[in-house]
This record gives sequence, structure tokens and C-alpha cells, in this order.
Amino acid sequence: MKEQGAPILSPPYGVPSPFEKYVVRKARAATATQTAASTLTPLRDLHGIITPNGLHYERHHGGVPAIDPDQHRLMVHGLVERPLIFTMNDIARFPSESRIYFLECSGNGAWSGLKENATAQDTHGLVSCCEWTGVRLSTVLAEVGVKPQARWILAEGADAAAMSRSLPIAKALDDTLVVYAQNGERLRPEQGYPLRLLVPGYEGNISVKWLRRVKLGEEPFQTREETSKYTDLVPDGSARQFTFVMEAKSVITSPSGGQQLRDKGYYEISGLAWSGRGRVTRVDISTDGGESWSPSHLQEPILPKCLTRFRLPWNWDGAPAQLQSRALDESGYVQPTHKQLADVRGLQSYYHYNGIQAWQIAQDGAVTNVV
Amino acid sequence: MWSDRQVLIAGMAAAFLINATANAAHAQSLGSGHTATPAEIAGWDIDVRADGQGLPPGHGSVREGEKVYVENCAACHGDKGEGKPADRLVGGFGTLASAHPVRTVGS
Repeated sequence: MKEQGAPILSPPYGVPSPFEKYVVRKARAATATQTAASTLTPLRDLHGIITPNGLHYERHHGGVPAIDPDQHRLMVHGLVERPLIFTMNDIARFPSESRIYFLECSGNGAWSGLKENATAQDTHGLVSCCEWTGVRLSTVLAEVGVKPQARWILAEGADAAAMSRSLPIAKALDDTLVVYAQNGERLRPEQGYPLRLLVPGYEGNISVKWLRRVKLGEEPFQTREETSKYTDLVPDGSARQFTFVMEAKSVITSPSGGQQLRDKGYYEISGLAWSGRGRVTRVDISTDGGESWSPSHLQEPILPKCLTRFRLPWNWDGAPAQLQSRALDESGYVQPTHKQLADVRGLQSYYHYNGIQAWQIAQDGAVTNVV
Repeated sequence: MWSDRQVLIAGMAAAFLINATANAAHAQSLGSGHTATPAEIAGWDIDVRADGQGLPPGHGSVREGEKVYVENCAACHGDKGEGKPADRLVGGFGTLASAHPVRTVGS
């Protein structure tokens, strides 16, 4: 380059290079409306464990509201000693903490129906990972004084859907956060600006965005999103309810669906693993369709309820190969195969699919999803 | 008479008590937020539980309900709740244990 480059502040808020314009979210499916819909994180093109704020997956039930933080309030009431209303300034004055947690929609992945041309964005793009900053919900609850008979909380959003979910008090008093920032800046509107719940390791839906109300009660509130939706149908026709924890899961992001290996030789197999139960302890890789397995290298930091990056050097001999990854967590849980899951839960659960993902590498180097 | 050691221990215990009290006060209240009045709570408290708790007072008939449905719901859920473009609301009885479950309020 012999010419002067672009000046400073072009633009004041930096954006990716125009050469990266294809690294964007995409709609998960054709839906009746564009407001009750979801978008997928482009996992294949990301590095490390942090999801850039503009690429965090989206799931909205009534669109993204535009909320003035000066007008926003959080009310905490029900079975409490002192029902209180907090402004955003009140919230910001609480003792704060920052934690890196993954967030995953319980609908991430598919029990069946994904095509051969599916990419990692299609198969696993409803997971993202950010550093979240806010106040412990337990600190807020100490302020109102929880009555001993309170067993559940209701969290309600200020969106058009008034999205609401019930959460057991034990989890509310454990590591649950009320957050106002992600990756160093205030929440993005599509992530709940100005205030959201962040329930580590639990299905994303319960991390209620645009949080405006928390009510304490003796029993779960049985909202639409925990009866008609977000329940898991099993073969006898009954449904599992309150299946909160996102169990151990992993996906190889390179090489992965839609990529093309040019030559045989050295490749780094790399991907992401996570568990809602705690830390990932091991990720095994198979290059022969699950016949044999080798442990991969886990990149530090290995944090609980957080994405963990794994890597394994690999020499492709030019023959067809099938890549799989299998995550284990500190509870001893081993990520199951599709068959192991389907044998127990059938194929109609819709939510909470965490089976092992396989990518087929053809002789010409094309990488496709194993259906 | 207390020995120096006893005084020291008593002093440490007192200091611990003061510290514990300070922590308890911290855990109880930071003085944040303002009291939600009954009127404010009534304005925000919109949840309705499975047993009907939380429903506003009132009454209605099927005929009145049909008018409300046609005006507010039918455009997305169909004239008879058959769905398209939004979720189907009726039917599907006996399908939940099948390979093609139809999830509705009724099924």
C-alpha cells in the first residue's frame, strides 16, 4: 500500500472488514412472521469461544422492542417482604460481576430433517457465548426479602409477547444474573436491552430478555412457554416439563459442512463443546465414523457453563472420512449418539437434542452433513 | 479477672459480631429501589395461573368469545382454529403418541 488509508473514526463504531460481509446471522427457518422467529450464529467462521455481539443468535417471540433505559423499570413482588421497583440506575448501583457463559436455545439442533448441505450454522447455530455483566439475582432478591414459602419465580419480559417463564427459587438464588452488558458494552437490543435475566446452563428461553417483572410464588406459573412450548414430547404421548439443563454437546466447526478441503495433508480439526452442568472435561474426536476416538486438546480457559474450544491436528490421506466429536463433562455425562437419544426419547421431543454430529469428507474434499 | 488472652479473644469475638452484623445488614438491604404501591402492582401483575388465579373479574359467553376470536385471532389461527399461518389450536386428539403428533390446546 503506497496510499494513505482510511482516516480515524471511519466509522466511529467499528465494523468488520468488507471482505467479511458473508459472516452474518441467517434466519433458521421460514416462519409465519419475522418477529416470532430465530436466527443462527455463523459458528464455522468464528474463532475462540466469544461470540461477537452482532452475531449472537436471536430468538424473539414478539419482535425486538425499542426500550428507553430511562423509562425502563424492574418490579419485584409476590411473596416478598418489600415489593420494590428498580430503575436502571438502581440496578447499575448494585455490586456487579462479569461471567462468561454460553446461551443455547433448547431448539438448537434437530432430531431429524436436516439436509446434507447443512452447515454448522444450520446444525448448531442457536448457541452463542458472551461475557455478561450484571448483578446476582440473589442480591436483588435480598433487597426485597424473600418469604420462606416462595419456591418459584416468574420472570417476564417487556416485549409484545410478555415472554414469561418460571424458575425454581434454588436456581434463582444460585448463579442467576440480571445483566445489562455483554462483551464490554450494554446489551444489544436483540439481546434484551436494557435488562435481561441470564440463567447459566439452562435453556436460553428462560433467560428472559427485556426483563420488567419478577414475581415470587409457591408454584410454577404454567405459562404458555412451559406448557404448549418448551416441553418435550416422549413416545408414550406425555411431555417432559421443566427440562432446564442444556446437556453436554459439541460440534466440529472446521472442517464442517459446506467447506472444501483442497489438498490432502495437515488440517487442524477444531470445534466447540459445552455443558449446562459445568465444565467440559474431555472432547474425543473420531475420523472414522465413531470406530475409534482420540482425545483433543482443550483450550484454556475451561469455564463452567461456557463454550470450550477443542483442537486436534489431523493428516488427511485423501480418502473418504467421517469426523465426529463427543463431549464429556465434570458430572461424568457423555454426549450420546443420535440412536442412544432416540431409543429413550423418540423423535418428537423437538427440544433438547444433543446427539453427536457427524461430517462426511468425500474423496474430492467436499464436507457434508451426515443425515 | 480476665487474662490478657481472654480479653483478646473477647475483643475478637466482639469484632466478629460487629462484622457479622454489618454483613447481615448488607445482605438485607442496600436501600435500592422504591416501594411498589398496590396500585402499581395491580397495573403490572398480568400473569394468570393454571387454576385461574390472576384472572380479572368478569364473565362471558361462547357467542361473545367468538366475536373476540374473529376480531383478534382468526387472521393467523384460522376461522375455526385450524391454523395457518400461525399454530393450529384445535384437533389432534389421540395423536401425541404417534409419529405425527399434533400439539393443540385440545390434544
